[in-house]
Amino acid sequence: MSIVIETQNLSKVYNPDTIPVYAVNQVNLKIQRGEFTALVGPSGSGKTTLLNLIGGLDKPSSGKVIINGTDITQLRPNKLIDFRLHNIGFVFQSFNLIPVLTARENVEFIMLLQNVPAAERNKRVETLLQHVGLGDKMNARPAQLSGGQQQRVAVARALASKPQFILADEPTANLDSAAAANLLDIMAALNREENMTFIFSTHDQRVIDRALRVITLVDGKVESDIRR
Amino acid sequence: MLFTLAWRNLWRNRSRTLITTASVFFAVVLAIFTMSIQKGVWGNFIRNVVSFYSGYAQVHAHGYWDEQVLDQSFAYSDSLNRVIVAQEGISATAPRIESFALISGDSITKGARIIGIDPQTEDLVTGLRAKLKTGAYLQATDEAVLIAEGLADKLQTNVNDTIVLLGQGYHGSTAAGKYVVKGILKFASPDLNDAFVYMPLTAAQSFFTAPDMLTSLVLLFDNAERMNSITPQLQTTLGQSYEVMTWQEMMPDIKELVRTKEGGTYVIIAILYLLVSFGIFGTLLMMTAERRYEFGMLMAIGMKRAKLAVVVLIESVLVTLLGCLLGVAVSIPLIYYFNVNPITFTGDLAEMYYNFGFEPILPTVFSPTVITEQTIIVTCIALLLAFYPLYHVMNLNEVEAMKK
Amino acid sequence: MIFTIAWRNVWRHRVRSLVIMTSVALGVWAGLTLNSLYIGMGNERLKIAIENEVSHIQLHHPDYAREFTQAPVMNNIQTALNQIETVEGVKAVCARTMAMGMLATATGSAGVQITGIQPPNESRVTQLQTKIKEGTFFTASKPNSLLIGAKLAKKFKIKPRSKVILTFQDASNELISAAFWVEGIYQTYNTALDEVMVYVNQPDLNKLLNLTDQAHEIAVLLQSDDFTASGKNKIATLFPDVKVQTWKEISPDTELIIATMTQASMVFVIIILLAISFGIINTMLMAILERTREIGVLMSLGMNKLKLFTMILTETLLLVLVGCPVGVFIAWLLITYLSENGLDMSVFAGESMGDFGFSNIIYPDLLPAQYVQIIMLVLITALISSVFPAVRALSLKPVEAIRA
Repeated sequence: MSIVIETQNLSKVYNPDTIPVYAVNQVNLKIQRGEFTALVGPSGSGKTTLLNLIGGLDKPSSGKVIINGTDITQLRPNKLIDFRLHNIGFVFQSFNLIPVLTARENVEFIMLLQNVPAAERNKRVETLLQHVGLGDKMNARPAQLSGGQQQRVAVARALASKPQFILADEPTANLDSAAAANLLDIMAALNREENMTFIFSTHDQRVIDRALRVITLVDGKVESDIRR
Repeated sequence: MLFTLAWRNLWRNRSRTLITTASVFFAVVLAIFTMSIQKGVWGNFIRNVVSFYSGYAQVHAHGYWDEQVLDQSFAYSDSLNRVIVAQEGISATAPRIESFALISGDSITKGARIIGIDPQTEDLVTGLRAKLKTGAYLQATDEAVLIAEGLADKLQTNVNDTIVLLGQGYHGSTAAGKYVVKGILKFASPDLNDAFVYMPLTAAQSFFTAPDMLTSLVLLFDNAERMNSITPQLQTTLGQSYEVMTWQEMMPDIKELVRTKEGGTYVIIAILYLLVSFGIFGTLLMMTAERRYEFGMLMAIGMKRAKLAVVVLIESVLVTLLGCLLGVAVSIPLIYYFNVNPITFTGDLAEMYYNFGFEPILPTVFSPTVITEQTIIVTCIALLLAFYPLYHVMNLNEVEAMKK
Repeated sequence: MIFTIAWRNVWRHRVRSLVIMTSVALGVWAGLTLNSLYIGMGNERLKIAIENEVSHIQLHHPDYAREFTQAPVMNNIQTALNQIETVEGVKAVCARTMAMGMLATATGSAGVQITGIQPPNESRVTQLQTKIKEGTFFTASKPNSLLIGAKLAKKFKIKPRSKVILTFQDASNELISAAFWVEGIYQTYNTALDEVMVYVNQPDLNKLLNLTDQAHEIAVLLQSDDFTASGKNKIATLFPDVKVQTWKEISPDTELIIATMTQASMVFVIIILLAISFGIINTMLMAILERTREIGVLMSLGMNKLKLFTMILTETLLLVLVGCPVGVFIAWLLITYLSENGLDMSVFAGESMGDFGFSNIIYPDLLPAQYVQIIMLVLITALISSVFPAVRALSLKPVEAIRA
């Protein structure tokens, strides 16, 4: 199996000059294609920071993030934006759909940024939204959707760019059990059927139970890394 | 406690505070600058017009201004002058006797305005000495004249030539005399340049057969802005046989023009207030939108609406004050700079201004009154608009607001 | 899609959008309307200057500017007038004899310009007959009739049938005095001129000056200003020894007054534009602050800086592009209405307009080019003011923006 994500001695320090706080401390990880990984740990253990570093949203203090052989910490800002667009899918805790766009447009937006031709775009938007069970809500605006539905649109949007992997920061934190279970079913199915790589940070035991690999962070360090 | 919260809110979200402050700041600077330049331009205009000839105020015999003839002159004495100069705020007087006469050179005759002056004090009112183009300035005892350039051209007369004056003197007597041209004056205004002839007061009084008589006494003030409170007092002191007139009364057309233009200024400034109000309101509107969640959360944890409203109000007052202070702090050097280095225009327009005797400049007036007035007005507008966030807080549904 | 987002963002905060649009509309409306008013005043001044004062073309003796009372423009005036009337575009022609002198009454004297006119011709050229306020216009063939301006009449308490003495020089430089009887009192739009101009019958004045079929000035009124250049050439060919001038050469300040008006209205437009742009900048900056999180999401999803910049720029421009036509349309309606029905300035300005050669009724006017000029200025302002918020959006960091 090929390695999609590799971090080498990855650290993020806040206040390096006064009282240094290591949000992420010397993390070395290898994530392979098709893994379904949960990043767990108490609040403040550095889960979100690690995800942001892997996703190229934040710059590390030291160390490397290598995605498919590219060290993204060396990319110029505009290149990095482009790299994210084509390689990484994001799902956020609070959905973060673009409020003025419909479900269909939110998904289509990513492909527009990638300059995907219209015909392919339309086909793919429908496939993706049907896949997450929202074939009948395509023209609804985010405000007209429930939290679970919005998060499913977010997953569809993350998939739309055909990314190498999807990063999800506490994807179920704002969802009720039924919606959370439904979302996990969809994600697990995508993992199984399409070999899509997922990394998600979570507190949620239901999510942890379904993960195939569980990495535990404490004080920015990897405390345990268990494959099931 | 509420104040502390408001204060910290301002510091915590500096971008927001900066933007709101900026909206007030720009409003203050624009209002002060616009008003200063408007007042400056018209103040400059009045100063120009007044220093052409009339001065800021004059004393005449009662009825002279309506019927400007020699027979309406008055007797001038040192005691009268002492009474006038004793008036607080009046620094000096410039006596004049004037009427029309025909002036002849070698062969040509023209109508002219003959003005008998005291050479020293007249210079203080109109800066006459500086208008001398060729020749020498008058001495009080000279039997000579200064002729305006345009008139001298038409008469084909030059310095040291002799001219003949012929006219009507006091009580219908015939006035005639021969005088040497001592100098040529250049006036910017064609009205003056084509008609004015100056001679020393005593010479003029004897020409008009009106010894010790004056048609007008120009007043000089310590501070011309206080003129309108000084002249009524002087009128009372002098009594009914004299009239004390300000330039507004002597030149109602200029006064009307200035009033009209000032009216225009108020229309312009009203539109400006409206536009800056929109600017401040837009900013406040987006501020409340940005803080919806925060407001909702504060209410959800039990903060009473009224208290939250007070916090928001304190913030608004602080921001307004800060914006105004900064605005004033920037406006003062700004208008001072443009007061000392006025905007100057060039080209045909500048040429025309010179032709009319005006400097082609747009000066600002550096007036504490303008600064204070405009700052107070903008402050009031900003505080009035600050009621919008207050209204917003009082009508906010906390559950709705908490939804992201 | 970027356009779609921008467009929908415009409608997301309707009140905010309305505030910006209204301020743009208001600013554009005020700028256009005020400009049209200034231009209307300029046109009015031009119309009065040509139709009541200087006419399109004047003919004088080549030495006119230096010494116009001495040299008649030409002999055989009547023949010359007939010749000029045949020139293409000529509407009316009149000849004038002129003398500078003094007007004396029992109460005083004043310098005046005496103009000997051919009453019917004069009326066709300058509408003098319609300006009679009191008395009549050279009706009877009474000898030595005179018309005097209202302002001068008031000054000397002159009524119709009053006697006045005019003193001036004849062709051989001899002083002449003659009694004239006031037949009418006239009042034009230019009170400054009214104070110095008196009109008499040309034959009366010619007789006193020892002139025969001669005059000092010929004034030509054309069908329209379009004929001025060609008319000047043709008349100059007919009379090669005579100085032929257009109104632009005779009265250059008329053109420059219009330039001053344009300058004044531009200062106003700039102030308005500054106020609008500060409003837009502050409101949009605040809107971006409110949308920080959303912009962070767009950036993490892979929207590059250029696209983000375009998106914010588009949103601001859209706001302006909606507001601008509204303002233009309202201004156009108002200007079109006023350009037909006129605006009575005496409501705002009292009667002061007349003192400066303006009529009280102004017909605002704005050429398409001037509309375009102001609209372009507004668009440039909008573009500049939308750059600031867009640049601000670019400086956001995705990770901090999302956390917000």
